[in-house]
Amino acid sequence: MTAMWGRRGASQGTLGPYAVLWRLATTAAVVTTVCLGTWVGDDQWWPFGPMSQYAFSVRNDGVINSLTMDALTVDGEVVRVPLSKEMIGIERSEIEGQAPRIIADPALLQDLAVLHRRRLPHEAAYRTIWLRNTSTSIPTGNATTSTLATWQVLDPLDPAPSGIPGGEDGR
Amino acid sequence: MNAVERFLAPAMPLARVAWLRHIIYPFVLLDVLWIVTDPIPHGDVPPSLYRSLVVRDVLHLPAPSHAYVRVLLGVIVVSALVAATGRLPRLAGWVCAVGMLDWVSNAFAYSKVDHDHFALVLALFVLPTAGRARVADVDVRSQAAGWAIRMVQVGAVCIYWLSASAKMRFGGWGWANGATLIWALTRRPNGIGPWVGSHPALTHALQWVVLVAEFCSPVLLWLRGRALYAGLAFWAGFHLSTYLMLKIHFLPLVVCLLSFLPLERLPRPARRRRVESARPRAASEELSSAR
Repeated sequence: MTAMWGRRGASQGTLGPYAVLWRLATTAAVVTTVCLGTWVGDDQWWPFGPMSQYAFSVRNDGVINSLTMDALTVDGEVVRVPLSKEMIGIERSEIEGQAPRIIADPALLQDLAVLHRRRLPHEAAYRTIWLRNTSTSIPTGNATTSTLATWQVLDPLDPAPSGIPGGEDGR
Repeated sequence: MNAVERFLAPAMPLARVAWLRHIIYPFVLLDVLWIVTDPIPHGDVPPSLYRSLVVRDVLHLPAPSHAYVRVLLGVIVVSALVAATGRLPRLAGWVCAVGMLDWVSNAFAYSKVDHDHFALVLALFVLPTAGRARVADVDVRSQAAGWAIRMVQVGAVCIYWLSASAKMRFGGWGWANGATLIWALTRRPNGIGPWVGSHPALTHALQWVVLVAEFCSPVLLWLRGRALYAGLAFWAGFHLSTYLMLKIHFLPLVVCLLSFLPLERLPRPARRRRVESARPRAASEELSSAR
């Protein structure tokens, strides 16, 4: 760890052979791992995961999908769920990443109701939550919206978490 | 071996490490308080939506909770403040590095992973290895400093070059002729973004420029003088334009690009210079130009 100085107090600090060796070995390990992360890895490899933001291809005649979440409140009003870290505490992109899980098990939307009560308790509670997708055609600009998942919140005013496992167990 | 050693661990001024610490650790404060602020609200998210990451499982980092994320924020802020002064460079530096690994991996443990933090996290782990460094150490060259600086540079270049590689892996060779930029501009319109998005030929040209530049980015490690400054100016302009069009800034990477600059030539703070010049000559073993 300690730099092995050749001439202490002089202008040149030279490292000894072992100090050089562990540094070069670290460089090789880091560069190899981060390259493999992009070539064969996935997001789970972070911080060595693929540098994949905007790396996917979109066809010029394709569609742009954009997820939204709407809710019916206990006051009978339909509102847009504010998917952001500042508001409800989770981003739209994070919900998009978990959309397959939510579609497979809409009970996960119960936890969005829980999060909403924790983070925005002054707002009317959610009774029903819909996960929706808006598809916009690139050449025509026409947009169509479809509902991907629906959940009737259990005990809307004081909702309990779903208890569905997260982390490794839920992977 | 010698050529590799000269390339990856050249003797460089300790002053550049000192300046990088004065820049990067304050940036960490900016990062946790303004850019990557997700971990605080994540403390309230029920565990079902927590997806974790391999690095968190390996280090046994717990699922975030309301109190945990606040304590972690305090640890990062204190360690970054101490490390920014140059004191306790190893202890404060590594506490800050591990704290940021926990913080940023928390932000990315809910199914959305960004790749703008690789070079910054790497910088936080290598900067402590250079030991004590002062901005006055302009003529004190050290291989330990050179390796730390080179690693930050390599980390930045890895982000660019591997971004191009990822485009070939996930988008295929037709990526540059596709509509990825239009897709991004549609979802995050800002400033002149919608106008650019309405000109498909322009978006294709921009995509080609980005792809070629990313593939060529490793030359930054060899460029010197004006050519290096031109390369850095290109990337600064690139990040500015993505911010203006998409509100995506990649600042954690931009701050690491500063490691390419001769920061040691920056004027030293006046107060410190006065204190040093008042010191009796015999009390210092540094070269005269370091005072």
